[in-house]
Amino acid sequence: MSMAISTSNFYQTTTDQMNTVQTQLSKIESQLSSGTQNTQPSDDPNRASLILAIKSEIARQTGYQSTITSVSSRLQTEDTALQNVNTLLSQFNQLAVQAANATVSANDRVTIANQMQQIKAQIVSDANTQDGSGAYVFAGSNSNVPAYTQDGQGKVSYEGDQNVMQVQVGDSLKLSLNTPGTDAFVNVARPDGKGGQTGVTFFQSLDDTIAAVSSSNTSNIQRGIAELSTLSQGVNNALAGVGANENLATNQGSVLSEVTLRLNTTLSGIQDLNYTQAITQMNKDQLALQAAQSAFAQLTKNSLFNYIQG
Amino acid sequence: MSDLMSIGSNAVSAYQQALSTVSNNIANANTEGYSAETANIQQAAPAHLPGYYLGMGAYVQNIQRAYDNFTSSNLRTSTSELQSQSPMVNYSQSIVNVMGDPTAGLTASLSGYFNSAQSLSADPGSTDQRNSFLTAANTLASQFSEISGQISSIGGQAQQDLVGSVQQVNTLTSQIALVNGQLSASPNLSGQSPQLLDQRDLLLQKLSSLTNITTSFSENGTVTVSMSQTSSQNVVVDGQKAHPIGIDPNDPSGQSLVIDPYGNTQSLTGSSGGRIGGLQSFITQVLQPAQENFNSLATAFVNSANSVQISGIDGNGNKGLPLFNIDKSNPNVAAAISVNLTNPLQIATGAQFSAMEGVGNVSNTHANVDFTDPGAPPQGIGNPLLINSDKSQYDLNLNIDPNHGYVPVSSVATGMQSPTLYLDNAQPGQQLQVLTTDGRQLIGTPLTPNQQAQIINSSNGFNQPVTYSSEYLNQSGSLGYQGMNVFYGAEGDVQYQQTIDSTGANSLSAIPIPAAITSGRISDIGSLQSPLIQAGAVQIDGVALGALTPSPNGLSATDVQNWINYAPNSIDVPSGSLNFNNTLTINGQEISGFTDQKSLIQAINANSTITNVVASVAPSGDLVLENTTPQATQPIQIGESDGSGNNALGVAEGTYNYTPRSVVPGVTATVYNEIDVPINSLDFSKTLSINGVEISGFSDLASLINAVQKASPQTNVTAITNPAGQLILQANSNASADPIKIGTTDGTNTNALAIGNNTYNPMVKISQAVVADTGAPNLEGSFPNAGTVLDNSTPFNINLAINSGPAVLVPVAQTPASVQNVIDSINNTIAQNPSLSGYAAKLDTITGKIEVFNASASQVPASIGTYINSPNLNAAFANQTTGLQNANAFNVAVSAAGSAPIEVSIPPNASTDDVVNAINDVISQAGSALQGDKASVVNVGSISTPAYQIQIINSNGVALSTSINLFQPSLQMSFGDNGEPADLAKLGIRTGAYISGQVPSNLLVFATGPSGLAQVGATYSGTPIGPAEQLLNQKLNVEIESNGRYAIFDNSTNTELAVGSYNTSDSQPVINYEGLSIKLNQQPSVGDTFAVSENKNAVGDNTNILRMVALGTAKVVDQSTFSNAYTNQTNTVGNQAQQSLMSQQALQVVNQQAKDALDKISGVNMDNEASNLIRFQQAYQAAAKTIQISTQLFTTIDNIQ
Repeated sequence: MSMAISTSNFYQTTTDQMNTVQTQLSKIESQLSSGTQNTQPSDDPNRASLILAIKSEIARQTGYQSTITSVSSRLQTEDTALQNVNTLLSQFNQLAVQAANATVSANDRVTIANQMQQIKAQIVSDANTQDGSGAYVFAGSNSNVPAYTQDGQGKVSYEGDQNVMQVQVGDSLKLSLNTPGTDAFVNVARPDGKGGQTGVTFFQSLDDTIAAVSSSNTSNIQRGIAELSTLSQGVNNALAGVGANENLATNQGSVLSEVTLRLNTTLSGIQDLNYTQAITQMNKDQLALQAAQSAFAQLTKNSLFNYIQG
Repeated sequence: MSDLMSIGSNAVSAYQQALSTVSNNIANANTEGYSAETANIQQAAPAHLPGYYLGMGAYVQNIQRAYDNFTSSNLRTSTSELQSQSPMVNYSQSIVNVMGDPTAGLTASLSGYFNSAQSLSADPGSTDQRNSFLTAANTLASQFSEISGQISSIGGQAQQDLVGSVQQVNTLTSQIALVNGQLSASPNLSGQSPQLLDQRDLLLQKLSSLTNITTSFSENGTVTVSMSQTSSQNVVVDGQKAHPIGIDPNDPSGQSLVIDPYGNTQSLTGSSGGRIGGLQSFITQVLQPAQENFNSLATAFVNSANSVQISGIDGNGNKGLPLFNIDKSNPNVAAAISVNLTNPLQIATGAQFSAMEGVGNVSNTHANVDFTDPGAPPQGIGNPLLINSDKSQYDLNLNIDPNHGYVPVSSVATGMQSPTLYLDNAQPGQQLQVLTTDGRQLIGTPLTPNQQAQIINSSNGFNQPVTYSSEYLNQSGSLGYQGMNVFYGAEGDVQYQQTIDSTGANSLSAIPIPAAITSGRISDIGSLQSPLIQAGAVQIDGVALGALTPSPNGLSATDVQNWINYAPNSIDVPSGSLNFNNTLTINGQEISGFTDQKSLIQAINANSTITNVVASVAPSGDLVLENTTPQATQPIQIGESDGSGNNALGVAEGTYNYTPRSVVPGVTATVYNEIDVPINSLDFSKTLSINGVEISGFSDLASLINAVQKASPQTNVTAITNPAGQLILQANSNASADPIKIGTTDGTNTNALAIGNNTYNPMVKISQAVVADTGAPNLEGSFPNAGTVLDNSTPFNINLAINSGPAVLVPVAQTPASVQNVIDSINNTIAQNPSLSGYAAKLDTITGKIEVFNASASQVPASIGTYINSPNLNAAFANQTTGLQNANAFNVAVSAAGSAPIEVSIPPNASTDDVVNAINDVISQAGSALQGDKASVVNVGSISTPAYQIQIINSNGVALSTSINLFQPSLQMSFGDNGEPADLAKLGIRTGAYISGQVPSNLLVFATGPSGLAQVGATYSGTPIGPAEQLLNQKLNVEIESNGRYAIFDNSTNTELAVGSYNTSDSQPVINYEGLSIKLNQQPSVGDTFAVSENKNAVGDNTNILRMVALGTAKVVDQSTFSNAYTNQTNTVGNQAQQSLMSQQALQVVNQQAKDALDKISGVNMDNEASNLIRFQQAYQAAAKTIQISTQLFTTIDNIQ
């Protein structure tokens, strides 16, 4: 014998069903209003983790990008300074060649030496170039003091260190941030007169050439001209290094933009709401709710008591 | 007729009841727990009439409650299961929502932290960037703590929920017990009120939503309820008694249950299901693992970040402090994180070390230095079996492998203080060798090329590459390795006895006790043809001793004593004066059969048993004739046998008398004999004989000592005890050279001293007089009488020379001493010094001076002066630069409380400032013991009359109990070219490799020699320090010595620390040293130098912060980055919530079915009731009609009558 369902249970069950549909509807409504797939991580934990992972990935790439921006500006500063030095060195060289000419008088050489002295002072000033935040770009990591100082006798000495700092501009790409002064303003090897060689600093070499010009020491002027080519080569090498780093920074910048764009696309695919699907679902749910409500209204009328006439 | 009436009325009454039942059902249609009831209408027993039965109508047999036990129980089970899911779902989802929030979760803060580090790395000098990194670190720390706090708070809610559910269980069980009480009034089920039974079932139903229960019903419907799978275990309702449950107060997780928490408490295990089971599962399976994982993530993060930070140098030039701090008192690590730094300059962006090219380098080669800390510092003493022991015995037997000729003994780490390794009972050829891990030999004998090849390799712990050097072998001070003081041989140190003043405080000056070395028991090893120890083999304080030749009847302790105390009578013969054609007699014995110097020496030595004279060649080339040790002081007579008047030696003939002289000034050997026995090993029940005399009548220590003392006149042995808990049997001074024989009187082997029945031979104590300290009195004065008290505050030594002979040291111990004390001291020394026999000191009453007289009481020329006239450093000086008036250089010893004194050399004519500067120089190099201490001249007087004193003050400005004393050199027995540890072993003296002060480099110790056992021991103190700490105190200089070869120097001592080779074909060669990796960017030129030292420009350096950046992508936790590990943790909780959600949905369906099933049985259906209502109403009306008809029948009958 099949037994009838109890009346209270009938009411309970139908109410429950309507509640379920209503909950679903309210969730879709909140999805539609937020424009995202889920409003609570607990609704779909896997998706939530994926979103977290991608967001942290994007944050890292953005970090690399901002590093590239600040590195580029510093490299630009170095580039400009070294190009200046390059120009100054060729002027210096012209003057030295001029002074080497036997027809130039000793007095004229003194005048030339004075000009050379001024060029040297400009080179020192370029070597002490500071970047936007006041750091001395050629001082290695000792960047809060001038890279080169001059004593009373005009002797220039390096106050920085030889630290070449690198920065991370990609998960596996590092870029050199700075050129230590001694890398741009290189030592030159000079015979020590004992059959060996001794290292002479950049500015010492310039000083010796200036001294040779002002004292008309022809052999030393010639030596100075020879050394100038090494010095100039050093500056050019450093310039090439800086240029290469600038290129690298530019390239890496566009790589990072692409990576970030791709990640953002992926994120929006995961995170954003499919409106068509959501609206269709909402219509379905609304229909179901209406059906349940009208069925309830109809069924509740069907009580036998309605037909028992008092 | 009456039948009809009664049938009718019964039926009316029956249907009335049936209608009541229906109306009751309708009324209770919405009552929770109500079971529909049915009136059971039964046919009444028919009346038996003849020939037939007449139906007698119907009646209500009972009102039946629609109920099915199985269905109810089924519903309870499914309710328990369903309810257990909801806490898992709800609380887990709450955790996911906390952890997984894209903005409030940890990943955003982690990204912020690493991005800030990244920005800082591009501009490490910027204060703005440093500040924002610090802010990001703070944000991250508070995010850790916020998330942890929220998870804890969800845990707290679950906990609260559990407490509430437990209380509900207790309410329900006590209600069930009450219902049981009411049910027990009726013996059977049919007599029970349906309402009571409904109530019982409703309570059970509610209980099952809280926990899974097992029920068992008795006949009358009372129920027994248990919270387990069986009805006998964990019973919570038993008849009318309810057993309350509670949360186990001893469970730290706060989720285990107990029965009867306030009575006979028992743990409740095996319960499951329901809300309680769900909460328990949530706490143990989700909450606790989530908290643990999050805490371990926090720990891993803090440890990684801190280890990066402390391996760098901060903007102030200091070693980085930990970035994060964890409050240890909080068990939730993640909630206890705070940022340890407040100042942005404290962020250690820079590397610890930096390299600089030498200014005059020819090549423009860069050096980049990287440091990898090898982690925890090495074991202080690498060999764990080599325990630190001050006992005079070896700890370890090591077998020297005959194939290799060496055995590793131990390593000694940098930072250890004054380690000494000992070699006991050294066999001929055995040596201790101490080398640095870079192959510099510091102590031992120079390694042969074969030994170098065997020993110096990476499997023995040497660094690679490694080269051997003996430049620093056995060298000390400025010649030593990094200024180290080392010694190879036997050493006795001056110990200081701290004096206590009347207030109980240590006085600043300590009294030095003479340094001493004691031999083992000197055993008779039989007389020997050749010396036991060759001349020159053993040195004391750098003075070579002669040959040790035993007495004709065997070696005695007195032989050893005389060997050390007396230089033997000798004759020096220039080699040019030898004439081998002449004859020779020595002490009357003819020496013959020689043709050259070598055969002459052989001939003399062949007769040495008769002449007691041996010959050898001195380093100067002279031939030296010398008495053998026992006859050291005898005259030597030289003559010829052919009457020519010329002997082969070419020296004057005649008797050469002994000129008394001590071998080593200030060093005396004394024979003594004593036996030390631990008091606690004495056995008073055993017998004892000493030197054959029975010692008896003792039962305890005191009576034993008494008994020994009583027998002393016969035994020449006395007994005393010492503070170390030993009983000491001493030979009396008149018998100090005699053996002590210990035995029993009952023929057994065990005596009362519990030592072997043996003859104990005497020993020799070699001691060195202490150098006179300050305040030696002026002995040149004139004294009124012998009782005059001198003004010395410390013991002092007198330098006594008679007839311009060698100086003899006379110690005067009394403070202050009287003139008589001085005289007695001199006479004591004379008595111990046979060369001075016949002399005596007394006070010349005429001059008032202390003078020395000979046996005939005539005054002899003698000089009496203090041994070293040093300045009094404890005096007060008039001003800060007062000269100390010392014409000579002298040394002082500076010692912090409890540590070995450090020697400080003071130049001649020093001022007080010179002394202060010399002390401070030594302090700065002394390492940890004196760190922060500083010597200065302090005004101890007033402003108007200043008086200055040299004091040592610690970093807090407090004067230390640091003493400044005259330096007391150690007594040292070392080896000549022909000596070795085996020579000292012949005297029972152990050879040590001594290092004083802090070890500046990792060392390796080996024993070398032919195959056999090497017996080694060690003493040491201090703790090892890591290479970083050591290297930060050093300035290194790397020099390219030749193509492919470099040397590393310590700048301050110019010590060559290591020599190695680099690859000349590498485009970027690398030089490694102690964790430093010095990378060159190209091949260097010969002569290039690179200075490596602590990074002084760290504020602008980004090397270390780059490591912090790298942590962001490093796979540190479970092969994941921090960010991914966190996401994985979120995901784990999320998956658990999802799983529970799915179970919940499935169980919902099951539960609905169970509910429906029960509802079909017990529920009230209005349509059914309506139809029943009509049915019963019609039946009722029909039955009423029968009554009416019956009445009409009566009326009809009445009318008839």
